[in-house]
Amino acid sequence: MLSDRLENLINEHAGALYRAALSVAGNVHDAEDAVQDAYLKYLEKSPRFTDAGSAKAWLIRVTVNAALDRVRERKRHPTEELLDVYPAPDERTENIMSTILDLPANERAAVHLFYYEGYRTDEIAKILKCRPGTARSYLSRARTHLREKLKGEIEL
Amino acid sequence: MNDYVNYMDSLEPSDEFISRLKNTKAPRRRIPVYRAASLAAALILAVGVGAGVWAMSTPGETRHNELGEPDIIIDPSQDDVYSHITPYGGGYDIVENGIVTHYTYPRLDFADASGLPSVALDYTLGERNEYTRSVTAEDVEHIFGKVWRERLGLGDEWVFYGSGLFFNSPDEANGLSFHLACDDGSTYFVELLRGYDVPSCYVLPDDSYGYTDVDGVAVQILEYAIDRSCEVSFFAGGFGYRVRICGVDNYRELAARFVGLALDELRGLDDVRYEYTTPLPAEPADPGVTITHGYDPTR
Repeated sequence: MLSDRLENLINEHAGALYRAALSVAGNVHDAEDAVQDAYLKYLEKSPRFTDAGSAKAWLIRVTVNAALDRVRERKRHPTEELLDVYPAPDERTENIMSTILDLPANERAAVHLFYYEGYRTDEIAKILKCRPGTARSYLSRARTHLREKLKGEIEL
Repeated sequence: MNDYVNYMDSLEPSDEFISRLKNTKAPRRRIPVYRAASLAAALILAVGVGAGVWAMSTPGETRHNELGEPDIIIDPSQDDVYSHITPYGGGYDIVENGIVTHYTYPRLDFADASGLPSVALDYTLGERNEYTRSVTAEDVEHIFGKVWRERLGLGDEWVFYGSGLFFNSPDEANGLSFHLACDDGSTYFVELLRGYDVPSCYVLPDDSYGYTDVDGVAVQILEYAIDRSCEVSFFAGGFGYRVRICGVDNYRELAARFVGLALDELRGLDDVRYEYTTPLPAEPADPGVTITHGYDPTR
């Protein structure tokens, strides 16, 4: 049953999708919308997955792109920011998170997919629908920015 | 990045949200995806921007001149309301015969004859140190209709419809998007994004991509013959390009014309190959197109 498969996919991946969407959108409202979009898309397309990894990659791809779309829209729909809803446990983490959240959305997405989800740059390129060189460029620019701003506070 | 990982590990979706997800129902009916995208965009802008942002402004202040045309409000006090919004966004919406619009800076407020909230915006139309300036339906049609019909070689049956947005932020998206449409429902949706491939949540890994190489530029095409639609996307000259064309028999010709415009030379897409694949790696070509609309209604 499709509904059973949906529930399994929610149980297995909703947390990861939520965190990926939060990293890109920077706020709960847009992140939830992006995750819901992904599951709606799943219901609409009913894609067949060969394994759990491909299901997660498909869902993350749809989620991240939906979140990126919302970032573009959000310029006119400001919402409560991530750190206001989920405060950092200490000043150091808050500083790091603030700096990461200041990155352009595509770079935030690349940082999250690389450092948190552990995807390779060619896999990130597929998720972000760009060339591998562009994905590497996102990461490179992000690292440069983080090193400059955090000056030794962070290991990349 | 351990601090980042630990922080992200601590974020969990709420039980209420998970419950909502599990109650998600499949859409009852599928409609052509590009048509849906266009309609959704128009609705989001007309309803979301209109109802949402318009509500943040001061309804009732919009005035009409003797000809029934909207006057522009000069209201610097409202600047505080928008002070937390990036001042680099802009765009227009047209619903039926009325301009519907809102913006960040400068502000252009309108209400059409039906009373629907309307949004039109383009900070590039503002004069220095001015908060607002007037724009008419003709202005908008000129910018997104006439200018682009000429550039794309389209007939007069294609008119600007729905939404046209400028994105111009020094550190993020910089580009534009707009719709053209015919009375029969055919649509032509263009997006340009400086420095990035144009992202999409409509193209999925399971879809069949075709691609062709035009002077080292990988042109990706996604085609649905059943509803006479296609999407062409590529990156060249520092811009990501995407055009979706739906509902016309010569959609491939129109797509090729768009590629030709972007690469500064008309080319065909006859050599498109279809595979489950990602685009060919390619170096950006020399810039052939800028996003400047080149129209200043103040002149």
